[in-house]
This record gives sequence, structure tokens and C-alpha cells, in this order.
Amino acid sequence: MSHDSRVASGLLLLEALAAAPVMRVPRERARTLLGCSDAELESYAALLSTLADREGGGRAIVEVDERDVILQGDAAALRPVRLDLGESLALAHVLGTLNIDSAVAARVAEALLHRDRVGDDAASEPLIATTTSYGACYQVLSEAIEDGARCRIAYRAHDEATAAPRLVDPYRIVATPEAVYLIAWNVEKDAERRYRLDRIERVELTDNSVVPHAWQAASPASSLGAQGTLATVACTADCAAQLTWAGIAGARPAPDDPETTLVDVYVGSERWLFDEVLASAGAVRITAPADMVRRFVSYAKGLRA
Amino acid sequence: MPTKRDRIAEDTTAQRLLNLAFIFNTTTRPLTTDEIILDTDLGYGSGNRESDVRKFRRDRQKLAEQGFEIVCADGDGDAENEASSWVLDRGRTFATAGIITRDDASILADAIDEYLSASLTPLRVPLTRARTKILELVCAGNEAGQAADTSAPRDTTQQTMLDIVWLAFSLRRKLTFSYTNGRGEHSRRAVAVYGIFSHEGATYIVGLDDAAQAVRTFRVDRMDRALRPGARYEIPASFDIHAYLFLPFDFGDGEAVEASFRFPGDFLPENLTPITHGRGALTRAADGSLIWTITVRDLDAAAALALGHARDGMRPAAPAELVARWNALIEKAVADHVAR
Repeated sequence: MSHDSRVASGLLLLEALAAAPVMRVPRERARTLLGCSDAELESYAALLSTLADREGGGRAIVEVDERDVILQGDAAALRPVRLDLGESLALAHVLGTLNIDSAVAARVAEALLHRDRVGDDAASEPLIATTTSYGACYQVLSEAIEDGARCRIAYRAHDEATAAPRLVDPYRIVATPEAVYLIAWNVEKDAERRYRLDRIERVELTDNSVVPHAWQAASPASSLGAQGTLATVACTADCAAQLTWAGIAGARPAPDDPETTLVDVYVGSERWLFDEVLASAGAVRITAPADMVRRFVSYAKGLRA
Repeated sequence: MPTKRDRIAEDTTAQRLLNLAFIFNTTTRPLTTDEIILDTDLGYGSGNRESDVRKFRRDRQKLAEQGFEIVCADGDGDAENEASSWVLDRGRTFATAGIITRDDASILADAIDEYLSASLTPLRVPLTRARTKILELVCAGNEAGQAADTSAPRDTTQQTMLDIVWLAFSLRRKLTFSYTNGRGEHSRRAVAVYGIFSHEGATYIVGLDDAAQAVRTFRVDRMDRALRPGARYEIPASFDIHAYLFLPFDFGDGEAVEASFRFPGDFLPENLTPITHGRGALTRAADGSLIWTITVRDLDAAAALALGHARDGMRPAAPAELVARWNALIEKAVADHVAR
């Protein structure tokens, strides 16, 4: 651990103590905040208790009892320090990635970000990025979940050319490494559904509140297994090993060709599978069901430019 | 042998820096250079004036890196003689209360929790601290101390490496580590980390690699045995991490060509990020459709990328060779399915 980390932790503890009621912070909370052990927390208290201003007579007294860390007196009370540049970069990245309202971002910049960032577009961050998309509607969905408000969303499903309305009771937002989903109850279908945030184009809160539902919060694989269509594709064993599709149910060698592997996969959208097959540039071929193969050929021919 | 616990309490450098912050926070008047560097209790007063002046300068820089800004009160920030006096710049140092609302704080805390729940990330430490400060600023109470509720899978070894990466990046210190590339080849690297990005759950750093003397990308889960952060560096002002978010058509021996793709006009630009990674230029055509223009090295891979999103209305627009590759891939797929 570097001197810098210890200084940062010391300042952080003083800020937290100053902000807490009667300047007491539970030990566990303090440990979590500093990311340290119980013994290290006591050592931080000892370190901070060495601080003294000889001229003014002030000194810091930080004690640790069985339950809490306590700051005695006001001498070492520290107002919240602005975020340092690194913390400001990280927060600006989150503001931008989650498309947080620009007025909120501006207030954060004014109140909290490092002064070298004030005046910039608070959510513009050229040093940190992610390819995970939270779409344009994360904040309003988050607020709807918090408030328990039924929503009307415009959702562009894989099989639909344009966004179509759905009336939903939002439940929670779940992020996976590949995509971020809203788990919600589709009121008209009376069933739980997952909606990719980057396919939600608009959200309107209705005046109605959500009602209780039997939430499963199923994984994409479980959802596809329960609701999807089973298809079989053929490819090499190496190619099969690299497929990361959520709905894969199993793989086996082709009975008539040991060089080929057959992969059974549940799909929620035929067009999604068709596009995957087209993008594979011949590496993957649909073998069953036969009518799906026919629909694929028709779909592919319709894409000729 | 002193324990880690003892080392914290006896860390005289940390003690000196914290005491400097403490004194400047409590004093009501500017302090002169001499008042600081002659103070043995404070950790100066070595008898070598020049050495103590330099130490005080370094300490100010260290505290500034923590957001604690001690500035010259005499107007000229570079003045460092015995007559210079110093104050804490409270406007630059302290957060301003009364601007962020409780609703803002709730939105921000939820957003940070959401981000941290997605996957392991080097932003864990800075975002947790930012979250704490936001709540401290708005809800002076127990809520402020509540830790982020993250449900990301815990892999402490990997998270430790991510934390080291963040530390080096935030301090702008070169990171030295062992690296195993995709072909299983091992090497020792020293990298000035310019930027960080995540892609499909993995974290990558982009930076100036000492060995190659060029900007390179490294995947953090292929790094191990990192040393303490080394020499300082500057990030070029023109650096933009988005240029390094790779797309399938970046890798190829072909000549780089400018290609363009068309999307339906009702697409929200934000919702195209999973496809474009924020790279290239997105413009609106006269008919309202969105045009994405980007440099491409592998036209087959570019055509395949577009076919992978054909259901969303993505189509190749130019050059003609890109359209030809798109058609060729379709013909091949049709032939593969019809012939059997």
C-alpha cells in the first residue's frame, strides 16, 4: 500500500466522520469505506490521532470503540473534498454511459467534480469507455422502478422493423457483460419479459402503479428455453466452441459427418439467428427445422442489394 | 517485523501529508514557507533548506492529487521564497453543498450501483468513493456511509489487478507487468496507461508500450505480477480511447478505405453504440436515414458486421466493393442452405 493510498484513506475517514451523525461511523461501514481490516482501521485511527496544529492548539482525536469509530471535537472535521481527477473521470464516464440527464450532470460538475473539469461537458470522457450500452432511457426507467410506476415503452424487438408499444410493470435492471436488460411484466401478455435497454426507444410513465407479480427474473438462457423456438445449426467443432449464444441447449457430432458439430439452440427471434448465420460468412448453417431453413433462404434473398 | 497495521500508524510520509492538510484546514491565516519547512514536528526542518523546500513542493503536489489544493497566497503561484505564504484554496478543494439535490444523489447512487453490478471493473474504488461523497454532501446521515450494493461476481485476484491498473492510471505512473498474449507468448511490459475500456465483460488498457514504443492494447485478465507504479507520464491531449474500441473490420492486411452504412432514420443514435462503439461519424442523410462512416481494413468483415444487424435495417452504402461483398456473403449463405 502506498503513502498516497494511506493519505487518501485518512482524508476519506475524516470526511466520513465529519458527515456522520454525532461524528460516529460504525466500524463495519468504516472498514468497507476504506477497504481495510479491523486492525488496519484501528491503525488509521492511531495515525489520524497524531495530527496536531501546534500554533492553534487543535488536534485530531479519533477513537475506535467496540461498535464505532468516533471523531472527538471539531478540530479535524473535514468538509467533503471534491473528487480527485481520477474519481471525476470515473464518475463522468458513468454519467455519459448511462445517459444521465444533462442538468443533473451539470450540478454534479459544479458541486463535486474536480475543478479542472468544471466547464467541460461533464459527461464527456475521452479516457474511459465501455461497449456496453444502457440506451437512452436508463434514468427514466430507473426512476419508474423506484417509484413503482407502470410504463408504456416503445421497443424495437429483433423481429420488428420499427419500435412497437408495450405496457409494462418495470421490475429491475440487470446488466450482463453482453447487454443490459429491463426485467418487466408485459401487462398485455400477462408474462415476465426481458427488454434490452438499447432497443427501448421511448418510455412514458403512466398514472397507474405496478401491481405484484410472480417474478422469476430468469436468465436469458432460461427465458429462451421456456419461450424460444428450438433450431439446430451445423458448424465445425472449433466454431461451436466459440459460440456464445445464450440459448444453446447442447452440441453433438453430426451422425453422418464427424467433422461437423450440430448445435441445438433456443431462439427468441428467427431474424436474430438468420443474421448470425449470415454474419458467420458460411461458418454456420441452419439444418432444422426445415421450414425455418426455407424462411432463412427467403429472408436472405430479400436482403440482396 | 512490523505488521501492515503498524506500518500504517508509523507511516511518517502519510503522517506529514495528513498533518499538512490538517493544519491548512484549521488555520485562519496564510502560512509562510519558512513556517512550514522549519517545523520539525510537521516532518520538515532537516537543516537542508533546499531539500525541505522541494519536499514541501512535492507534498503540495501529492495533496493536490487527492483534491486538496494548497496555493500561494501572494498571487504568483510559482513564488517559493521565505516570504511566500500559502493557503488552502477552499473553493477548489471542497465540494459545494446545496447544489446536488436528494433526488440527484439517489439517481447517481443508483447509477453507480448499476454500473458496478455489471462486471468487475477498475472503476470500483473511484466510483465507491464518489458515491460516498455524493451522499455525504446531500444526506449527512447514516445513508452516507452505506456501501455500494453491487452484485458483480467476486474474483479477488482479478479485482486486485484491476485496482492496481486504476491506481497507476489515476496517478499517471507507468505500470510494469507480466503479460501473456492471445498466442500464449509471455513478456514483461512497461506501459503508460492512456485509457481504459471494457468490452463484453473484459477490461483493456491502451497505452504507450515501452518495448514497442507505440500505443498498444492489453487485456487485463492476461496480466499478472504487476510491480509498483513507476515513472510519471503525461497523456497526449489528443488521445481518445474511443478510437481503440476495436471492431471486426479493423484487423486485415487490406488498404484502409472509408466505408459507410445506412440505418433507418428512427433509430436513436444512443442505441447504435453497441454496433458503432461510438467510432466514426454519424450523420443524417437528406431522406432522414442515419449514415455511419468509418475507416475499414477488411471489407468482408465489414459486410459481415452489417449482415449481423440486417434485421435492424443496417445496410452497406459505400463503396461499391462493400456492397458487392455483402451480396457475395448472401449468395454463399443461400447456396449453402439450398444445395443440401
